[in-house]
Amino acid sequence: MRDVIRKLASMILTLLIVSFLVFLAFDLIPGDPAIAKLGTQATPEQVASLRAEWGLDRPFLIRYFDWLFSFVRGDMGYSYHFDRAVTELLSGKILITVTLVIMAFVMIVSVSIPMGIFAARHQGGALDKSIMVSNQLLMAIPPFFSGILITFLFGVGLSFFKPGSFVSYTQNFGGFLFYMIFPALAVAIPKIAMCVKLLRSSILEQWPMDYVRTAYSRGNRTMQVLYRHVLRNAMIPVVTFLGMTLADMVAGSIIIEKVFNIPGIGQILIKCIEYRDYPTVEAVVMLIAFLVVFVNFMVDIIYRILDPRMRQSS
Amino acid sequence: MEEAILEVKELNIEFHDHELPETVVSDLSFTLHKGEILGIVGESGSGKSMTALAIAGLLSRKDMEKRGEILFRGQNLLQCDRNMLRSFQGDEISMIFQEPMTSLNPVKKIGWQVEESLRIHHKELSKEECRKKALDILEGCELKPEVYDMYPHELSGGMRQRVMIASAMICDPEILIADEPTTALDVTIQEQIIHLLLKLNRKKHTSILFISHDLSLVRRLCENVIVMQHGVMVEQGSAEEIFAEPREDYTKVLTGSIPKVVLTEERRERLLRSLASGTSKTDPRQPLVKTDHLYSYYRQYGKGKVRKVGVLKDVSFEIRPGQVFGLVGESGSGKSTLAKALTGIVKDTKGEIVRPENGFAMIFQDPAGSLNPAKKVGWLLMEPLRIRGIRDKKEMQQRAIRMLEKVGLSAEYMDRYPNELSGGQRQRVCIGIALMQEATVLIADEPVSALDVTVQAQILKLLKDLKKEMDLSILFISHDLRVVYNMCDYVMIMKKGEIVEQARRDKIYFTPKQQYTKDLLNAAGLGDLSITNEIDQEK
Amino acid sequence: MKKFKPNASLLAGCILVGLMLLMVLWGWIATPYDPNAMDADLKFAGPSLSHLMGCDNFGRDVFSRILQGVGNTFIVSVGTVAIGVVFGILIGGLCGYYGGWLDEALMRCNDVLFAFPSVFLALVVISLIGPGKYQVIVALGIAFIPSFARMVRSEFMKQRNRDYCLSAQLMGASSLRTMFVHILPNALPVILSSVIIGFNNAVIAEAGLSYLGIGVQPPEASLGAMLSDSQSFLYKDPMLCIFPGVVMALMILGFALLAEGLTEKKK
Repeated sequence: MRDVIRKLASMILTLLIVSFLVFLAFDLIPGDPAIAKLGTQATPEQVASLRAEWGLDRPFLIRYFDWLFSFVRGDMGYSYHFDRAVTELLSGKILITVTLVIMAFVMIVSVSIPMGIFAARHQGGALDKSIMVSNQLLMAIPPFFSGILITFLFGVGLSFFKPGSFVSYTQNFGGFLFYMIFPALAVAIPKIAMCVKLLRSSILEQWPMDYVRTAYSRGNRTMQVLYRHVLRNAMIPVVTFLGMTLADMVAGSIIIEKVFNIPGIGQILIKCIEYRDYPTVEAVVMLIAFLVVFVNFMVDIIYRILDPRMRQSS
Repeated sequence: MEEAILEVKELNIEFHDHELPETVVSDLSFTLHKGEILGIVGESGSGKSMTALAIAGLLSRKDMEKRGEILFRGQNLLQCDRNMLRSFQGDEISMIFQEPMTSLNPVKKIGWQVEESLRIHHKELSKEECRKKALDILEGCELKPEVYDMYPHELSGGMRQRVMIASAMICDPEILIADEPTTALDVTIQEQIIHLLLKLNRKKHTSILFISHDLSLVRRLCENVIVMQHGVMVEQGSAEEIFAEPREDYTKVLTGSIPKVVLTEERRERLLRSLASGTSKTDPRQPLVKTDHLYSYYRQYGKGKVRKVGVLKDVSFEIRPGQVFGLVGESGSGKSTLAKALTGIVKDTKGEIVRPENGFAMIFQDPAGSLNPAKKVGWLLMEPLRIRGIRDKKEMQQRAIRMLEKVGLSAEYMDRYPNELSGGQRQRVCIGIALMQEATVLIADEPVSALDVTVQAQILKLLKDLKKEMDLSILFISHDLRVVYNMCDYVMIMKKGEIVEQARRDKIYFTPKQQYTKDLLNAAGLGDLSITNEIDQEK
Repeated sequence: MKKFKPNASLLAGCILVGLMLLMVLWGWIATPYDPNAMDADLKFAGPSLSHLMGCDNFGRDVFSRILQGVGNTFIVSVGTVAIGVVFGILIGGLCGYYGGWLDEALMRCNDVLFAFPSVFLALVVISLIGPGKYQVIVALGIAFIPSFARMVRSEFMKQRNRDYCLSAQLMGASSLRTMFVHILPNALPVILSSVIIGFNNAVIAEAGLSYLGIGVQPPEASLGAMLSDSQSFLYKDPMLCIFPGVVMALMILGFALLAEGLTEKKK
């Protein structure tokens, strides 16, 4: 329990450091958002008054803490480009991105774990070999290309969905979920391939271990050895991988949103990078950072449950 | 003699994973009787572990052929189906292994693992009954009930082996197969495990098949012994016979390779005289190595603060020129740290250290790890010369070849990589590299512990010969009291970073003063050599 | 040394990577057509002998553009991996060899960075320094440092504690000699395979950033941007997507197989 609290504290500290670095970085880069907004023809007086209005003329640290405290309260600043509050701008988008990531994650876990166990059990057989070869191929297709292929196959070819026409969840929740299946699939496919490969090799690595021999010497069946002894040990690296995957998919969804024309936070981020709309970029970066740190925290907890050796060591 | 419980008839095991079939066991026949402790002795590659695994039904690789019969309860274990075999495993025949650290599942509680055989073979038992039986057997194996809810990593090596024994004995099996169960443990712990096995054997009348490379251990534990070499049984008989009058050549070599500890009449006189006078003559020469109240720490990072953990406490000793100084201790005694502190690898020390002019050279326990796997033997032998700034390639090569010959190898080894050599050859190369450094003092840290007994004897002989020839001074670190007796003039015993006792060799071995020294001697089977009682009687 | 066993993954990987290098060279020396020359008559022309992979919506030769794109991907990958490896070995090697507070401090920072996906780190850097080919190299290079540093550090730590290192120190070898003459040859296999995996990841990351329009800038060709452009014509001319996509997948596959083959060979 004390460990969990300490982890929580270090998670908050990490976020604070990240927030400071992000704010500092965006403060240091050349370019004045006021000039960006008003155009180069603006008079210095106009620029100065806009800067004052946005509070850009105050000292750095004050601006940082001001930004930080309002961020914690849920006020993420003001988007220069969209002329709206960032919170308002992002509030609907987060759900879309999170739905995408969770759907893909469910696909990964529900497909790759049984498949990895199957491949390991039939190691060297024809099915195992074909799984391994197709894995190798699927891993080589980046999600945005597999997204295009899926669009072509299910959208253009089979007309399961209309390419590029996103269904908003406010209008039709079922339709929204159905539309999201395809991008989620595109994100999930290479990760499924990696996860199957990892779980398979992890199980096979456990097999020659001494404790497996001990388990056999007590009269366990092979299935019992697998499910009662090996699987939990073999899952330890897989959990690490799944955690990293979850974080990776949050970033990967930025790309896939463009493929399927989904108005999630990724699309906003790209636009804001183009238009140098820093308050929004900062907010999105912080949101993603929060998600990543949170996922790592959860992985750590699961790790401790799976592996008792992690519980007591510092 | 009691009834036979297990009969092995003409057992053959062959591997077919290479082009030529490789025979690991051939035509092995023996009988294990009820309540008997039967030892199988052999060096690595003798097929002793394969035999054990075959009896336990744990050899099931596809590329392997097993012929012959293993008869148990009228069934041939090699022929009967998996279900039948499984019904014996853990219930009637159970097994414990060499590595207690890895033989337990790291993510399951001890209680769960101890009860497992019960859950598989005695489904009629309730959860409570299982738990009660598990607690009973844990107690029988001298473990506290708290262990039930702990995980393997929370236990020491000795405790884990007890847990293994508990889990193997919980169904009261007819046969317990113990494959080198004490090899990975410290000598005093080893002694406790042996006593535990003997106790269980007497109490439950379980037959034990004890596989070991350690002859003195087998001699003390087993009634009957089988000696194996290259998969063939060389000799069989009662333990006393085999050790007192070995018939076969190989057995003679094997028993001859155990270093002997005997006190000759002449040395006995000398020991008694020096004890009587109360003084021992001191070497007038300056010591080469000296520490004065040496303390050492290592820094433990983590949790934000740095903790200093003491490893050596108040260590003072001297090594004189030409002396072989034996340093004995179990794991955690600080003996390796002391060596590292002397050489300066461990820097965090307090207290004076006098180091010899030309420094130290060192040979290590694991010859595979102490040779850089990416370099050839010749390169490795020349490295000390290169570091000293010698550039003449021809000279370096000649000196390297001369050194190879000195350590009993030939010039053709120059172009080999370490992984192409056997363990004994690697240790010879390590000795060669150490001598190339022309250091004043040679530190040998468990130099023969990883080797088979016959190879061990060869390496010890080489070290002795070189010592005589080159007048070396050696700090010889070992846990093996027999080896130390054969090598050293002076012995220091350490425990938990402190010196327990130090004196001339015969004094330590024949008139030990400290209880811990006596324990160590007992564990090595040397306890009855003490002449302290006789001296008291004479007085 | 053992007899060299033919290893299917290694062989296939070598062939694919070899083909890629050939394409890179071809693209540098001379492409069949100017990758940017537009020809209104050839809009959406299908594959033919004169235009192996057909022409795009502006009538540009797709094969020439792919050659240029592969070249760009290659430059970005090499630059990225070089930055990652050099700083990774420097930071990881120092931390792994010396340990202590330096290691603590650097690795804490590294762990924080390592937790973030590299594409995300690259996006943050690009949002600071702007889009473009060389900016992508810097951004991805920085994003790749943490994983390399971590790998090198753990390898150096593992090797450093082995007896042969102590033995070298006792002979009087300096720290530098121990690190580079004794340890590095033993760490090389591990470093090599992670360099190849690094290439694999760099190709994916570059293509992704170019697909988003913040990588290599038009009119210069890149595989990612070609995919993004052709997506609008999925109904009209699906081959426009297929060619760059397949070439990209083969590049990634080549590096993956090479890495796989090397690890297999080690066993």
